[in-house]
Amino acid sequence: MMTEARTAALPSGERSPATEVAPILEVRDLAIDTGTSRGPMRLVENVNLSIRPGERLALVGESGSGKSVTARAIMQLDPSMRLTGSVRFAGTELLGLPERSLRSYRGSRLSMVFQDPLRSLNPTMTIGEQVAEPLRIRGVSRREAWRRAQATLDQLGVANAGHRMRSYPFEFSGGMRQRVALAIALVAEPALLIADEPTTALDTRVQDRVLKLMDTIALERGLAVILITHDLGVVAGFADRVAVMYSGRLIEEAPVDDLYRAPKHPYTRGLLDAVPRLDTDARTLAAMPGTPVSPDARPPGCAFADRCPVRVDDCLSVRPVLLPMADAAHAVACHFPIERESK
Amino acid sequence: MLRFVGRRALFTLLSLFSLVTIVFMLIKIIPGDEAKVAAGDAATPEMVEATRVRLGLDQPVPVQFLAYIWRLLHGDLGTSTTTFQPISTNLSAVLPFTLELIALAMMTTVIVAIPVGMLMAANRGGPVDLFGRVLTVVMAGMPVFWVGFMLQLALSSTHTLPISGSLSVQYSVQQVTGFVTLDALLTGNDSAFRDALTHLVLPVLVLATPQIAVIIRTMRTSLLGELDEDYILMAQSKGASRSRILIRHGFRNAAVPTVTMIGLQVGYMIGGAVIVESVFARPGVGAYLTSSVVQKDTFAVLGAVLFIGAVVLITSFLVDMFQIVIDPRVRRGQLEVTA
Repeated sequence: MMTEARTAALPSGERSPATEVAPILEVRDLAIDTGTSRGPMRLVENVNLSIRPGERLALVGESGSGKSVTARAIMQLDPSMRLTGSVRFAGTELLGLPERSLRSYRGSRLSMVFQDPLRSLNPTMTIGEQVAEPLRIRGVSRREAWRRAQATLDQLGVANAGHRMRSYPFEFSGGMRQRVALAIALVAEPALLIADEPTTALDTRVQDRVLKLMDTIALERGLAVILITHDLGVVAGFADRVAVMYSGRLIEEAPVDDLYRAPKHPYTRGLLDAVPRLDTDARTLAAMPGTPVSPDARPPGCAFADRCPVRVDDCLSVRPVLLPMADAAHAVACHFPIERESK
Repeated sequence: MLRFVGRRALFTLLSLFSLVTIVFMLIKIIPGDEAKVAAGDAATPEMVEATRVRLGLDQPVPVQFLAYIWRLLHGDLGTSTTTFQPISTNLSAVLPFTLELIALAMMTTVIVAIPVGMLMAANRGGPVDLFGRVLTVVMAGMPVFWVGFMLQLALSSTHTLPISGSLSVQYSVQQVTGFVTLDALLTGNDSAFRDALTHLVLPVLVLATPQIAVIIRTMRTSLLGELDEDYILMAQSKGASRSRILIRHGFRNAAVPTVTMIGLQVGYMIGGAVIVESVFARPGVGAYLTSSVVQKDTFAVLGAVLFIGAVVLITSFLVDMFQIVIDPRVRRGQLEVTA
């Protein structure tokens, strides 16, 4: 189970994974539909993602952009969502798999941490029970599961883990709770971790520590990570690649440095301008005018068109496709991508 | 935790004291001379005066109140004017019948309502859930006495189940604990045991029906609330099965409000027992209360009220204590839920 990921772990802390390794997760043309009181609604469409063992992909977007829905669709956690397209994990198609088979993937091969570590831990179960559970579900003996849970908590820097496993979530601080949530996700040694806004509910200093911890662990284990966040500041130090979502569609995807240096989509540009920076003397933050369009009110063309500074009338009717730029690593869905950074 | 226990114990004691005070005030307020009532209808004025002195009724009211509490602490609820026995003796003779009825009704409620409520929550919006929701409204809406009469009417001609009493005349059970079914079992009297149980079927059914509806609803609603929590998503993403999520994760957290509600229902059940015991002609605290009211046996009525009130308060205290067992947040003093 682990061999794949371990062989992909690169020597001497080098992060960029070799391109020839087959992707651990491949999402092709994923669409997510749900029924609402106002009728069916397409939340997400045409999402293509690919992540190799050991790689970190950041999925970025505002609230409602579809990033969390996409993450939950990969795990197939919400039966009310109708999924079409393809989600292949280590060569196996997950969409359409019976629930029983899906369960054998969840928690052991791909796992997830959530935004609020207090709400994502069961208030009436001890930390030990909760961390050992993914192993217990798979028939690992109580003693062995407990031992491995303790080892994982130790590794994640929970001091005095053996003793603290008898405590309950409310007796832990926010940062410690997120370490526990990470331990739950990692105890069964998965190949892919989906982290849905894992640091949003934490204060800044703790955010930083949790991110560093995820970085270290992912490196040690050759773990592939999908980091879902609205915070581009969090992305920079952690991810290899960034995919930007807007109104349920991917609009730009690029290696992290390329994206920061030369964003191609006017929306990404706007997002980056809205990040507070210490290395410029700008006194005010740039804010994007308008609000994101709801998925059920998307125009036939580009969803960002009504807020876009460079749009032409046709943008509203002709939908741009996510196409690679000349250098192939950078893809953007815009009829008029930004040519050069003009600072 | 100790603070929680202490506070709840103090609250229960204060409530008990208020109850005693109210009952004492009622005795004083009710028209009629207590000494006359106690001495009996045929007593001469000299006898009444003698009784007044003997019962301390010639003393100032505060002294009488202290004496009343002193007597209560010694288990003395006064003397019945119909049976000429201590009220406490009368009550303890009929108490096992009521306890038996309530205990069985409560067990039936828990055994039926908790799985059904969970099943409905697990199939939210499905046919089972919809049917259950309609059925619980009907069950909760039917008056207890009416259900009792209808069942008696339906079964009276078929002789499938006894429709009144607690034991058929041909059986007698040697008294050990006072609980008929238990005594029959202890003395190895199998046929009497079966007979006593069949006598309990209808009263238990009638008493449990509205409670089942209430507990199903509570269980369903609190479990649905828990199933929307993030830790359920987390459990799903661990690869937990549907039943594991429902039982190990959802149920344990939904149990706190449900147990609280079950505790509250004990009080309603004693109220229901008053009706059920009358309808099915069973002996019990409720039947004793009813007959005392009919016979204007004031001290017996007040004694029974005091007794029922005390049982309700103590049950509510025990339910609070049970929360310590199921919710670690209450145990460690982080959260306080009170019935």
